[in-house]
Amino acid sequence: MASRLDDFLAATAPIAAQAEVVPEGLPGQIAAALRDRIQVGEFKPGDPLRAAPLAVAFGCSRGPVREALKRLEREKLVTITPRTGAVVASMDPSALAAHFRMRAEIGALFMRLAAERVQRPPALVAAILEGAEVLADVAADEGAQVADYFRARRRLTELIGTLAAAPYVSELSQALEREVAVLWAPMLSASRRRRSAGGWKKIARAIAAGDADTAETEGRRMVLEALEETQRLSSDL
Amino acid sequence: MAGGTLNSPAANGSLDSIVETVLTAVLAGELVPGQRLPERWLVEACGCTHTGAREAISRLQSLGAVVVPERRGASVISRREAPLDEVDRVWRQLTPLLEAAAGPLPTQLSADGWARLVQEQAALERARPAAGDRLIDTLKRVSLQRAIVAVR
Repeated sequence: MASRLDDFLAATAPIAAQAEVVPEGLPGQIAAALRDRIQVGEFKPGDPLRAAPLAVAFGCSRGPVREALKRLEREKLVTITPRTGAVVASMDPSALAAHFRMRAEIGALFMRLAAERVQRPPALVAAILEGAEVLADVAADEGAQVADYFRARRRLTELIGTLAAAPYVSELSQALEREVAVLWAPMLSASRRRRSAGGWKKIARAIAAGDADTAETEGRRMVLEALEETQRLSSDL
Repeated sequence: MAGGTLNSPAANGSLDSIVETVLTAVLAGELVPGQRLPERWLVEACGCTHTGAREAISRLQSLGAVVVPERRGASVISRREAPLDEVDRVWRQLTPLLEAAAGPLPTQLSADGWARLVQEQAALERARPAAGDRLIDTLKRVSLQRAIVAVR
């Protein structure tokens, strides 16, 4: 299973390179690494992120670590207070619904722009369809790592972004996505991943068929479903 | 600049005026989208200190008017980063969410770029209690970026 994902990632790397967000500089790389670790739940909301041990772990001085933490603060993934330093942010439940509804609209627009695109290189469209299949495979694999699911999903998003050629919408969409990283780790159960992958398949087919209405509707629905599930899970706690 | 301000109450008066100087210069076409915005420009145009200029740039960055790439100086957001048609579509995609929560936005806006922007930002600010911080902050950013890249 992992090999199909690896093959897909390797095969699509050149196409995705245009859309791939390459972290700039050492602070950018540290921020990206911390973001990934927050997303898979290694660092949980409320966990302290101290510059000194992180600097040792990354083998650098504290400066770039502090810069990375400031960047994550701007992304609202981390809160920094003078007394306690940086801690992983938690999302205010009242802000949750508003955030997801906005993300649903931006996601819907992102999918629509990809489906509406007139210039559609066949190799790129094929890669998007393959990406949705790979994602479904990873989601169906009980032994697969959550991180593999995120890798597959990130690449699929990059490919759709390459087709959409919409830098502004892509950036906004990614910024909103980064903010909810703290929520995904506890919420992304295997069944949630499977259902979500089903949504991505529909989106990929709609994009390939140039069906902008379906791409938009499915893009919106997927996020709103995630909202419902998130609300249900948090009310169970 | 008595027409109003785009800044939060937290910003101090002098910083406000630097931010306004830059934004009015952009909307008047004196600074174009994508143009470099050196601290020196701010120091000369506003008579502020380099520290004041740095603070203003950071404020403009958080408002979405200016980008500061790694190891490079600040520039006004460009049409490559924020193509007008895309910014417009984001605006049209998100305003229904706002209007559902807070009622319709005013349609009669000034023809003057700066006055129009101030009116639009004020309307968004008024909708904050009903629409929530996150949506309002995003729409204020989109409104500002749209005003900048729409300048001809």
